[in-house]
Amino acid sequence: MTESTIAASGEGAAQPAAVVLPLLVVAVIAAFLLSVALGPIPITLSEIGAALTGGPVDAMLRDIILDLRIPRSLMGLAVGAVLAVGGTAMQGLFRNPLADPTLIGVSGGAALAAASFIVFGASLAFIPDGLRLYAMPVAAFLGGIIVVLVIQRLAQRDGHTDIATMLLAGIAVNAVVMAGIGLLTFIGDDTQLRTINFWMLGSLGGSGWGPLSAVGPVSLLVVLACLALARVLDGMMLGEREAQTLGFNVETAKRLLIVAVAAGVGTAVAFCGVIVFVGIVAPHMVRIAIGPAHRPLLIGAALLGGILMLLADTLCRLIVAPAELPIGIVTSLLGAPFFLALLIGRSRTQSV
Amino acid sequence: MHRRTFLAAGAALLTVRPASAAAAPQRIVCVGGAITEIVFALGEGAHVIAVDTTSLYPWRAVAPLPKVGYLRQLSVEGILSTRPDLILADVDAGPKNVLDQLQSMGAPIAHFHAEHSVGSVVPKIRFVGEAIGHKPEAEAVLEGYSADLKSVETTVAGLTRHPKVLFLIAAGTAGLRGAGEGTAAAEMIVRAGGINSFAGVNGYKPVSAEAALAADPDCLLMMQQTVDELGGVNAVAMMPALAKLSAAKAKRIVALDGNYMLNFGPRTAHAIRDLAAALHPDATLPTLPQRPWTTA
Repeated sequence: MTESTIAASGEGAAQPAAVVLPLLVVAVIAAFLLSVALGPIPITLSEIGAALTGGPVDAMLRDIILDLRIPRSLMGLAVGAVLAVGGTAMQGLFRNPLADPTLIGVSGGAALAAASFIVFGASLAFIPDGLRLYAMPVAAFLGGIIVVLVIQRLAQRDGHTDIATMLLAGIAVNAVVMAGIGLLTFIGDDTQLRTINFWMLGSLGGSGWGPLSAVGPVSLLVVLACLALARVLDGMMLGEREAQTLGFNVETAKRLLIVAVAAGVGTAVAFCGVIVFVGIVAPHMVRIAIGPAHRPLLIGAALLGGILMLLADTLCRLIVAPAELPIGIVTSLLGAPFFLALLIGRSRTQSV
Repeated sequence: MHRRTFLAAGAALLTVRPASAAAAPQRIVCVGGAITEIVFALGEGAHVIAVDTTSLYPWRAVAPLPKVGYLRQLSVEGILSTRPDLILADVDAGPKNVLDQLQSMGAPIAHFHAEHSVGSVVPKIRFVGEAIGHKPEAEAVLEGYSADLKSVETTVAGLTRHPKVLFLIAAGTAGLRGAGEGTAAAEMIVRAGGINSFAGVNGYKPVSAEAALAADPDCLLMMQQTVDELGGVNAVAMMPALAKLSAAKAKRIVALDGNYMLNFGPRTAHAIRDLAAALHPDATLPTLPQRPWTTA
């Protein structure tokens, strides 16, 4: 079923990437401007222009534009891109359209570490107060990486990574991780419980130039790394052995992909919490539009992932203003129906 | 149009806010139910422009106000968009990075730092009075509150029976959750002359029906909201997990408004009195005088 789904989308209805990708670039720019302009405090495009060029603009508005909105929107682009690219890479690697970065344990591991920090962090007296704000992202990042490495280690068979085993090991290890989070919610008090809850739903609310200086470069590197491995991913659609005979070093590629996705998604999750569905929806939507070739697919998914995050985050800020919704709620609420509509529309024109 | 004044007010507050009437803030955002209650008690409710979702009293005045969200999950821009000239935040307001960002943008924050307890009420009223430039009003409220608290403490000290009380913050098909040590409910039980029968654990924790039976509380205590959701006292008494308890058989189930009972604000002396009266039905406890802040 898996390969036929991917292959089917490459035929007939697919638009050439040369049309779709430029459209996505335009949409990214539009979404970016929209997300900088819209929020609980209305800001006009000319005020944004003035803030950027040092023109005359109210001091508070300038602070909001330069220190809140722009780093937050850039964060949305970076996180959306890395989640979508991670999803694309995992779907290619596992040859399974349902795969996303959660499967290799990165989100779960990060969540377990973050929850541990929320519950026990206050008793870690050795962390200086100035670093406390960044201690949790660091813990979450390490948690994500460690769990990925454990799963990958479990899937080692005679010196190579067995993908089917990795999938099953991922499910099992994720179950253990979820049990750990459950235990922490039991140990923690009610306030810690709510903090864990909100963290699991994700938010860009903590964005600023500091977090962006970590997430931005890592995301860019990971997107480039996955792009560099696009040909291998194409080869792997035929099967691992086939890719091997085509001359690819499949084992190295697999490891690189896993490490890249773990690092990229781990960093994003560490700062923004768990954000679901972008990693599944964005690659599928792009695949439906331009087909399964990985180079344009990865680029398109990165762009669309960023667009989805920006739109979702803008809605989060507006719907319940002056409060803010956790972004995970919106990405699922908006992403899922749109995705379903695409699937249904597609199954009418061609049987899946 | 208020932006300039906003920034000027912010700069002033971060150092020391002058307590003159001219400097009294006109656009207050309250984060924390007790803080909101105090601002209204000090007569400045008309200047509250937004509150958090834990601010529920005085209900009629607070309900129509814009909500800046749950107090631990504030948004920088959301709060700034209300153009406050004072943000009054209780101890658990957050997340920390949001408060830091607000501060670094010059937003005028006054953050109260003592943990929730009956003991925090007096410093909290003083703190709010100082922050909004209403010290005399704060002292007047304190005078009444302290007299009430003293009166109820004397009454409770004279009680000879100390019923074992189990506070259930949740009860239903998903099981019971009781109040262990260190919770607001546990402190209220003790202040009202009862004994917390779910001691030995910290925080609000699941309690099995068997453990509840073994503890054999004289009385079940719940929030009015929880009892209403479950269909009233009779329905609670018949719940399978509770029906076998002697407290349930005797219909010794006390329900008090959760906000009133657990908020630790200016109404706390009255809440202790009402809880003590409910826990000791055989004793006659004197009522406290009505205060402007208990009748809103």
